[in-house]
Amino acid sequence: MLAIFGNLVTGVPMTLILTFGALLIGVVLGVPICMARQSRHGVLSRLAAALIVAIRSVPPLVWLFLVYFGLGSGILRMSPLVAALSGLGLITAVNMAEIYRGSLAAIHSGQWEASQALGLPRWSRLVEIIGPQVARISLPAVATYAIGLLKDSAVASIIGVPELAFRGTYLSQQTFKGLEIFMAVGLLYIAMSLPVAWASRVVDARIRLRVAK
Amino acid sequence: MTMPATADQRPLVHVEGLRKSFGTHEVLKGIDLSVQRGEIVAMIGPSGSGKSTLLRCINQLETHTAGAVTVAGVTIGPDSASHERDLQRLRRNVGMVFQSFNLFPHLNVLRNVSLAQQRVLGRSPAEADERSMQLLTRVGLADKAMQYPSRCSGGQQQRIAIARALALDPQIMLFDEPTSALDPELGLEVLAVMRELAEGGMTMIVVTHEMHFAEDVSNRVLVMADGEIIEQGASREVMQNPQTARARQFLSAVRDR
Repeated sequence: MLAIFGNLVTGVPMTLILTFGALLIGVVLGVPICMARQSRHGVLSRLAAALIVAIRSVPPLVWLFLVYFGLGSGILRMSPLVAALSGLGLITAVNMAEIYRGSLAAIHSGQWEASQALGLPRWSRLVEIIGPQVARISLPAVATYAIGLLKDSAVASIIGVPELAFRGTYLSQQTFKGLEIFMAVGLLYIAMSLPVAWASRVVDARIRLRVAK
Repeated sequence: MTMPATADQRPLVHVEGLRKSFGTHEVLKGIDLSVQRGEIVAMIGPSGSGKSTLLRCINQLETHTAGAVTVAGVTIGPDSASHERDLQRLRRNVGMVFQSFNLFPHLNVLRNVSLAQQRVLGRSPAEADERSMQLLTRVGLADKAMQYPSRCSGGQQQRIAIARALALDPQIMLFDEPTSALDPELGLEVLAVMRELAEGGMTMIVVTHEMHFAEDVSNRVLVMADGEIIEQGASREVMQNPQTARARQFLSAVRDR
């Protein structure tokens, strides 16, 4: 049993790579998508809105199939990991864009006005004044999303990414110890979620202590 | 960069035929106003009379629908036909203090005051911090430099906001009801700083409900109602002997409180 568990745990790094890889892609790519969505340029804004709706309305599993079996069959050969990272990364990006949009709306208009009245250049207003405040407000929602993503990364097992759920499925088929193995899988997911939730609370509390009104 | 002390007789602020509408509602109905260097102008009047909107048009936080605003030689026409660069040139000379302070909550007090000096004036971090400390000392808050704004009282926050605006060496300071969000005691410490600024010769336009300030510190009082300047003149005269019925009504209402 210990040997089985040892084998199972080898799926953990891949789950973490998938989760944090997709999160990183999403956190970064969400910024331009959010900016496009907020753009005063009507066409750009509508395109971004359409992209967000389209990506959010299709289940992650279907996206992975679309990327891996659709694009992957001929147009763009890619490994299961790359396909899963692109698919989950894109889904994360549009969700981040929506989280950022909500945070932007929560920022007091006086922050924009003060930075304009001071004559700060546009990049500084965005990067030094508004950006950090958006990040701060977004943090709890991003952490919640990250935990969701950790669990959703299990869909990547369907296209053969050797992550935790994939290992569990494989080992249970080999050993017929489904109950024990999937209980262990569940516990491992919990063990990975807790530090994320904890880190988010610590960071949030620290920021709150400093800047709360 | 300060202007040479040659006698520049042109008004520092010149507003001509200024109109502003929000949708179909016209809030400024053709304002003409000139402010000379060193003048301290108080704008009073009932809520919704357009005082704040006028002030915000002067540094173009609000675009206007018709007319022109000129500050220190930079003229801005109606409805954001102007480029970002012109706005930056105009705002370069104008400091603004808001009713809600609007300090940046994620930056400490020193950084709040120093940031724009670096980004707008190109001062080095050391130069900027030195100037910030001078100004914070002047408003009596040098000991708060490393604190975050949330750790400061409203009165302190507003004095920091004044220091932040002064740090860019503006030629004119705009105050939009700077004490309205403060209890009377904290308001006093802000008014003291403003009084000192006025004595130092700063050109100021102050939208206020502080009648003592309007009467004692300003040189000129404008009374606004329904989007127009209905009365203006030397402070004492307007405050004690208003000529129009509307101004009399407003002043007696304020006095009776």
